[in-house]
Amino acid sequence: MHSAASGALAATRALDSLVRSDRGRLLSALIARLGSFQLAEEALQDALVSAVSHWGRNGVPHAPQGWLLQVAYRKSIDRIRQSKSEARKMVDMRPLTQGEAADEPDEIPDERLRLIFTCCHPALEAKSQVALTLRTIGGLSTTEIARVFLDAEPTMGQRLSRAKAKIAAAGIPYAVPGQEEWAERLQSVLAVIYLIFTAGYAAGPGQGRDLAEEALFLCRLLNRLRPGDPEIEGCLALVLITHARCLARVDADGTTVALAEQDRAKWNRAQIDEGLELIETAMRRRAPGPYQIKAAIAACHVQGERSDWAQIVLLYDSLLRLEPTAVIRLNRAVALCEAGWLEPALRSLDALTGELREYQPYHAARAELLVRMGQAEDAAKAYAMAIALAGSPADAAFLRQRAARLGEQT
Amino acid sequence: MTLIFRDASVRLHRRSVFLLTMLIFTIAATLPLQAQTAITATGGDTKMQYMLLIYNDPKVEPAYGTPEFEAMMGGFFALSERMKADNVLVSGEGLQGVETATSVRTRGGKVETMDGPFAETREHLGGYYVIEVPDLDSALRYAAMVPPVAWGTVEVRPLMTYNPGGE
Repeated sequence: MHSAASGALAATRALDSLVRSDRGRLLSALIARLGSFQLAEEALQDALVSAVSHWGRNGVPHAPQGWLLQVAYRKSIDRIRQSKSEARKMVDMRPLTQGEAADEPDEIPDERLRLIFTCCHPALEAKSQVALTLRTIGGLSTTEIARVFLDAEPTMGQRLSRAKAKIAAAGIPYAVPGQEEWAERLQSVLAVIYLIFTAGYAAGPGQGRDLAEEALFLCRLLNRLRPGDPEIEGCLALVLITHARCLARVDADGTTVALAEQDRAKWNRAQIDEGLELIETAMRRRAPGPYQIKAAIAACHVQGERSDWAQIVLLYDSLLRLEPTAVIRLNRAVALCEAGWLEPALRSLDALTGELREYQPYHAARAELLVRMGQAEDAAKAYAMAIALAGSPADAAFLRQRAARLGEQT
Repeated sequence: MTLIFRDASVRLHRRSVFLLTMLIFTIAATLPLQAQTAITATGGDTKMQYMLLIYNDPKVEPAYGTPEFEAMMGGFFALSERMKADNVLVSGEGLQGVETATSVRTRGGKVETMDGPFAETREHLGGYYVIEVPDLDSALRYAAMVPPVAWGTVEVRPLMTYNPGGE
């Protein structure tokens, strides 16, 4: 009882899950072979289309990835032959003649590390790095990525095309950087992963693809492709420990809940433990870096019954040596305040007034500090500033709740 | 060159000229050799040509006679030596200051000639290198070694190639 319709349905379903799990891997192998981003994407698309009809008729092959890769190669040759541009023939044919692929290989080569480093190359605009990584490694559709950035789909499509065109025209290599450039280039990859994570964290697990999960997937993948790198381990630990608290950080009304007041039973203990183990492993490698320090700070929040603020201050001191930014200085001031060192905290905040005037967390931190110093009037003013600058309704609600509490006290 | 620097007021104007003369001087000696080897290089792996455009503000450039100036000249010399040894240098020139620039355009068939550079900016195009390397990463490595990168900016642009199949 094998109807054409049910066969097509089964094939589509098999293909869907395969695209989700292996699109990046297939694409990375194709780019390595074809030497062209654009051609690889087109050929893979052709192969997926022909898979629907073939698999629907004949069933899913025993090595579906190998089947797709093989068909994509053939499709790419068709495309090159059809291509009217002489120049394109010259450029694209050359790598193809370097070797013929075996028939439907069971194991397809994993070139995703090269792909990740190409997508996150600093010669591309930061936003394009994120978009390209989500598209090629994460397998998100252009529509889904456009939604992430609140862009129109054609705008995002153009951005992706421009990025791919620049990779080809500017000669951005499809390669994993060598020892000399590794540390610097890795930071740019981790920055992209962390940006994806914070975008997902800010949006919360709502409709569409959960970007926080996507970042976790990317970071795990990176750690598997290049095991033993302390900064990758640090970034993964940071993402895990932060993500583990996602269910506890918003209450039933959608209001942000401060860390100290979160219901710890809602934390994902397994993720926290995995993160803690990772950061300990990373720090034993004795090559500190910004992500390890940030993960250690995250760890200080979840290890004991209460956050270890004194240690957090010290960790921010070491982070400041690597990243002397105003936001890190602000975080350090918050830690000072939480550790009970109110006067030094206020002095630190005063020094940041000019730089962070438009930054909501600055005013929120100032308000909290002023409350503790008993300066209710100034605190109320600072809360008003913070609420006016709040980026999400959850944050605004949280700040209003804090400000209201202030009213009750006086 | 001693003539140029005899008068202090002239020195101010000519400082960047001197810098870039030095640049030409160090490159010129290497050119014939490069032209020969570049031909054999195109037969192997694909190589790309990039122009490194050196932009800097003459006002923040190290002054002649200071240790910083010496360091800069040393940097230019070391870079030329390095490019020569690595067999990547195609050409390179320094430009005279923007006060010597003349811009031309034709509008409605009429030639319009103007004093000054195309764009009035703080940072001027002061010189360039053309190098032949495998990819952008290698080009960026050389760009980071151009001394004014520490106070100006080096823009890296691939050259357009009309026959990508090679010679």
